[in-house]
Amino acid sequence: MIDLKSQKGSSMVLISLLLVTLVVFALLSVTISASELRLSEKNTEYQKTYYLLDSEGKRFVYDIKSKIKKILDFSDNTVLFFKHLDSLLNESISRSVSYRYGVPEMTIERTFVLEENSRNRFLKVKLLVRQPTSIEDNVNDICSVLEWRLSHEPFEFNTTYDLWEGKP
Amino acid sequence: MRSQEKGFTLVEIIISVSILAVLAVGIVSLFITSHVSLQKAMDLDNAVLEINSLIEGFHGNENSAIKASRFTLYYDDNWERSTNDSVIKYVIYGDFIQLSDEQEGLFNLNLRAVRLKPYPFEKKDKYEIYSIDVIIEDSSYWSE
Repeated sequence: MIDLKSQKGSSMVLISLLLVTLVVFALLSVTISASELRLSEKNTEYQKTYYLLDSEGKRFVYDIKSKIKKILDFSDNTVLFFKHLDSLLNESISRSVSYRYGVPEMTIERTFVLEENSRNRFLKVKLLVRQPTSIEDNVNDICSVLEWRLSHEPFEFNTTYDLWEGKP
Repeated sequence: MRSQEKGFTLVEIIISVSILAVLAVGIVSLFITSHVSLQKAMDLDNAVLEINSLIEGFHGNENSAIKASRFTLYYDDNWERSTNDSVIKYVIYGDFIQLSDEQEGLFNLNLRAVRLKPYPFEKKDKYEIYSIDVIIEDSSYWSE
């Protein structure tokens, strides 16, 4: 074992080590807090997109409900209800009429797309409009939300993976 | 004559202390930057959480008298609601506006979370943490 004959410079070594340790911890701390801030900003963006899509959906439902109210206010004939509604709806809105126990009902569907962090997020709104029995009917009883689905492109629309069907 | 080699000279001490001081300032500023970033992240998370809960509260509210109005909510250091002026650190401003005369029962709600005290070593007195616009429907409107 080598015995150090002189202790000259040992304080310099200790100070240097202390400084290096402090710099390492300071840099680690900065890196961690910066990534924490990035994560918070990402979450904020996610929440903002969610409420933007939600607002668009709400506006759409309101628009359909006001059209239904307009028809109920100005027309006495409930048989021609769907014809009137069809003429009021924009061509870009997909809809289909089906019969349930002989009574017609209309399904109105629209998908909203919004880009968030270079990925698309979707809101699919599906409404069911029943034929009113009288012009006194409440709009909320005639129009109801069948589907209100928010989805994220990579998770919901990627069908390239084979799903395990449960067979050994 | 006695040897003069023991100890440090004043110049050596001044130089070494100044070098250490410069390095210490650099390190301390790194720690402060880290603290400010962490504080900003925490404020953002808390503001988003609080604003989300406010929005959800308004979604299910049928009282249209609350809507079409302005409100201010005060929070302390821990994002707890407070009315004590000395501890208020954050404010959420809410603004309800009816979208248009034709769109009765549909409101635009603007929410802004603001920090009233500046972050360390930042000049801005007020700092807007988060702001969002959402559509709120008066659920009682269609049943009238």
